[in-house]
Amino acid sequence: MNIHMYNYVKKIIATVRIVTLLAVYSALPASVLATAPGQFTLSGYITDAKSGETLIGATLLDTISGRGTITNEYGFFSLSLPPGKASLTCGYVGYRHKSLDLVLENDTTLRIVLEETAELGEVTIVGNRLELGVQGSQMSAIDLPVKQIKAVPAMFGEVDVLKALQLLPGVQGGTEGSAGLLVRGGNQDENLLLLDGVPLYNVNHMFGLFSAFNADAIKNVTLYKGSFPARYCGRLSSIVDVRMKDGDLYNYHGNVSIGFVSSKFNLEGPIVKGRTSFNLSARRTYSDLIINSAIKAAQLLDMEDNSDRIGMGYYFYDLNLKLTHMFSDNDRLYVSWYNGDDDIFFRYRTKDTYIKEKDRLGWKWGNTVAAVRWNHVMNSRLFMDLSGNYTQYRHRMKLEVDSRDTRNNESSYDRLNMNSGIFDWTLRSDFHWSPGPDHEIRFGAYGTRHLFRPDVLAVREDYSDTDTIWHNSLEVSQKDTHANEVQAYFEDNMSLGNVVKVNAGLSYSMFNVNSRTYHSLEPRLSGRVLLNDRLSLKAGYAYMTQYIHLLSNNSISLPTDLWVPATDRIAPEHSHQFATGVFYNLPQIADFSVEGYYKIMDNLLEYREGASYLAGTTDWQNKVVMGRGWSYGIEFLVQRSFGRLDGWVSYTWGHSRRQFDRPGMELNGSKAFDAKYDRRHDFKITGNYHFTDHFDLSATWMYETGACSSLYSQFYEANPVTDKYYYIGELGWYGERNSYRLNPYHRLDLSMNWHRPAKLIEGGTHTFNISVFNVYNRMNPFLVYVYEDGYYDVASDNYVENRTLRQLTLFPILPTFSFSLSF
Amino acid sequence: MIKHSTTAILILAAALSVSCENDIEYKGDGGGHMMVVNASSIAGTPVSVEVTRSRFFLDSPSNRQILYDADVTIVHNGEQRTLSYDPEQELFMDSEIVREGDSVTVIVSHSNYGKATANDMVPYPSSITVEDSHVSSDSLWTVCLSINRNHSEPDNGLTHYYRLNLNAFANIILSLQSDDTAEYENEPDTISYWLDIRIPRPTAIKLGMASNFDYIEDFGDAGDYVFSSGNLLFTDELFSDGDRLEFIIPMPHAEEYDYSYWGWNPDIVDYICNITFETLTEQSYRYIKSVEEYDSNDFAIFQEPITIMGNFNGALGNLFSSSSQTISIRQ
Repeated sequence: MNIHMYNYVKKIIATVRIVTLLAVYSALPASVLATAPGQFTLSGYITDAKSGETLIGATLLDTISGRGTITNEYGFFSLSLPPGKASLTCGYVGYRHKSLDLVLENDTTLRIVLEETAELGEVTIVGNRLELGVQGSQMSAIDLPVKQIKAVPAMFGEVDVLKALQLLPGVQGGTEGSAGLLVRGGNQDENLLLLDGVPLYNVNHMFGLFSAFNADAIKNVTLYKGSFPARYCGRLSSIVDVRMKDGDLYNYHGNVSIGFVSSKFNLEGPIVKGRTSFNLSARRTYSDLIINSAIKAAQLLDMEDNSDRIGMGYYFYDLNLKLTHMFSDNDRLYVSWYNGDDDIFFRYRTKDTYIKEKDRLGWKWGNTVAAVRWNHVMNSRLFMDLSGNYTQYRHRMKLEVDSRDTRNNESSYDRLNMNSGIFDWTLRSDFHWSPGPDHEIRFGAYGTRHLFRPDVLAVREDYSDTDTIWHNSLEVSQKDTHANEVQAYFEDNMSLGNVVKVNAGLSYSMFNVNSRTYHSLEPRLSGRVLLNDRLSLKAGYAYMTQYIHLLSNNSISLPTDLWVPATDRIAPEHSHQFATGVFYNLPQIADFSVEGYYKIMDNLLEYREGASYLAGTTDWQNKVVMGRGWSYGIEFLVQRSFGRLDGWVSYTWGHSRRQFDRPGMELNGSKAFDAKYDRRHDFKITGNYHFTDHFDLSATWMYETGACSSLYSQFYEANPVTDKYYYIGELGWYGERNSYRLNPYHRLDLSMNWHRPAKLIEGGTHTFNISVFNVYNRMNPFLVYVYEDGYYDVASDNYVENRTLRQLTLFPILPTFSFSLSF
Repeated sequence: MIKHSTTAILILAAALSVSCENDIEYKGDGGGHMMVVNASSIAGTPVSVEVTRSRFFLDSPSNRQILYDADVTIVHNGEQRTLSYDPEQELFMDSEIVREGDSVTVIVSHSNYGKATANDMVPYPSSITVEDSHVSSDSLWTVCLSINRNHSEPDNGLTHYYRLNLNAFANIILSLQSDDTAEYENEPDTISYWLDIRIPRPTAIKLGMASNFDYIEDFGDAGDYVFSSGNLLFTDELFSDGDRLEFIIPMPHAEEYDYSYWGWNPDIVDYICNITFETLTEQSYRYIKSVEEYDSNDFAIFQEPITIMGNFNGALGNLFSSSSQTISIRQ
């Protein structure tokens, strides 16, 4: 660490300290005074009985006072109750409910353990009801336990977290097969994807077909589509909070899975029993091994062995590691680490006697995330989380072409290097404070140092022969940009009587880049009115600011997609989102919800007309234009979380528009147009039927209006004045931008699981899975293009040209299977 | 298991390689044809109008047709005239020329395609003068131009739009050749070679030219933008700091042309730079700019689609207005 970096880190630490202290001390008098006299606090952790794993969003309810709470993202709870008898009921998704009677005479610490159940009737989909369901003040949010994610039929047999989220109302997936998220008419870059609280910038593997989240390493996923709590900031459209498993504190166990595309394993267990645990997961695809084996086999068949040598392939891998140490009941330390890379390579070598050519292409991109976190229970009402995080996304391409002719000693060596990335260092403090039965307060602050490396391109050419030595080199480098980001927030989830509950918050953020500093004060409000135990009305408002942008074509995820900061010229993005809804619970049958939203977005970025997505020498700021957008829609959700059949049905009607009409930044002649992924109708149904303890069947069917495209439908001659210097020929016309609709998208996926006890491993289970993606082989559109064909007609002595509109489908019916062994 | 997976993947690969493309019916708008009007009102020339119809994208390119039976009228400074069709030029031509500051409205109507109108004003021309032209000892021909705005134009604070076309070439004059035909026996052979033109990088960046990696070459610290010949499209904001555009033409020596293989020996090399400077209206500037962007759209799948600027209400096409000046300088 050089002295400049050290000074920056010092500044960030000082800022975080000051902001945190201000927040703590401004709230402290309320803390002391707000504790209602004659109340005692019950606090502690809720954990899995076998593994000691903390449970996120587990509910704790006192049936006598009617008060309840849920565990936070670290499994901690704090509940103020009147003295005397308390009758507690504790529950969590897929776990047996536990009842507990006690007499409260002073502040009490508890560790509540819950046992996992295999009984079908107790399987639930959506947990966290006290916070997110009928009773909670939060709306536009949903919890998805990993158990449910794993039940969703998977493409190539590879369970994917983000694709499971795409099945929820208001969430779409963009291009076919893509793991991207488009939430409530927003763009792909408007989603904050957090892994253990640390942002992941590029979550796409295999050009977006898979996400970086390995389901084996994950404990819980929460998606916020609106009414964002003040503790979250930095993106306009959604927050996806993914939490990794801590690891079993008592026993070793794991899982090995062999799939169609990848294999993976997960191992967890104690390092020091009851105190320290680890959880290690790894995943790797092996298409490179298969392709190379096939090439080698083909070369072996070539008896003369005089063919050129070729090696090529593609793979990605993920490594997740989490270490947890309990110093005491009040102190826990977590270390999380993730590393994932995609790698495309090509190698070519001639076998010619005289001409020796050697080509190498290496194209790599990936993320690294590291976090150290300290949880400290300061007292029964105040919980602290301090963390230091690092995240990076890197992209590197290296091309080498080396050729030598031994006859005349001529040689040439060409090399091209490209690299770009984003690197963040963050210090963060969060406090969760329960001053009394009617308030649940969170406050905190963080400071982030960003380093953006937009593009570095270096080319080197060397040539030599007997007479000449020639060298040419070029480095086109857009300057690294440093930026500082600070956020402080305060939110209070308060009960105003038994009927009204409100989560009110305020977030302040500051972003400093070059000589420009942006400030944003973001109010958040979400509330519910409980009409009766089963029916509530909710409404929410959130103002969000996004200081970083993704330069992407939005149709496929390219590793060259660039994260860039707000600058002097490019302002931060803003959004206002209003939402309201009705929530109804029919016990033992289903939950119903209807939500409407209206979102206004400003300073959205799009590529200029004609701008290239490929890296180049142009400053990225010259490639983009800024404009505004708005989206609105209504979402229906019916979810059944009980019995042999669970699942949900969702329908969204939505409309998303864009307008770019600022001088010099016009698109579509300044007129408003539909966003690329404006899909008016979006219907999804997913269900999981448990026939027996050994066999279950899942199915998903979805229907979406076709995506938009700008298709040149007319061609015409250019004005002859353009031909003054060179011939232009025909020009294309596509009318309104995004005015052509691709065909509707629909498909059915099925998945079947057979679970059997493993004979060789005591307590082990093996699962055989068969999945069929796109069961009825629907030819869904990926893109359309004009196909040109022709023939020479002898009779008329003319070349007859045929042009047809052709649609490319990426994935026809794909049957896959996988085998896994759990022990 | 691995063996089975491999087999399955091979089956999958085979499945993926077939049946993933299919012809579909076009269900969008614009299935028919549209009227296209391309007109020009260039100072010192008569208004000309070309009326055609567009081609539906699935039709053969030969389906383009001239609409001879269109009615074309113009309103020139308030005076309305009907244009007649000139079959030789395949254009509707006016009989009078237009001058700077003239207002021109083009009205085209056709029984099948309705009516289309556009209007523009012939721009007051700015001019260029060669401020400096010298060859340095290292054979670099430096040319410096200055822009002179037209002071008779009402100063309404609007931006001015320009197109500058630069062509530099070397005429290599050869001696009488042995294989000359009798007809040209007494005339020297001339071979023309396009020369590079280098614009220093700060100006090139202002011009927005350094946008394509293919055209960037590194020539030392200057990092010039290099092109053989072509258009520079810019506004007068480029000249806000001195009204000068400097460019350099590297001049190869005569002896560098080695034609000894054919027994030729160049005697003289004549270096010429032709400069055409046009003052455009904003509409014409935006049209040319969008056309150039469209024309450079080589990697369509990696680029955003382009809207070609059109100023005809009721038709595709463009009424192009400009005033131009051409000068030729020799070394």
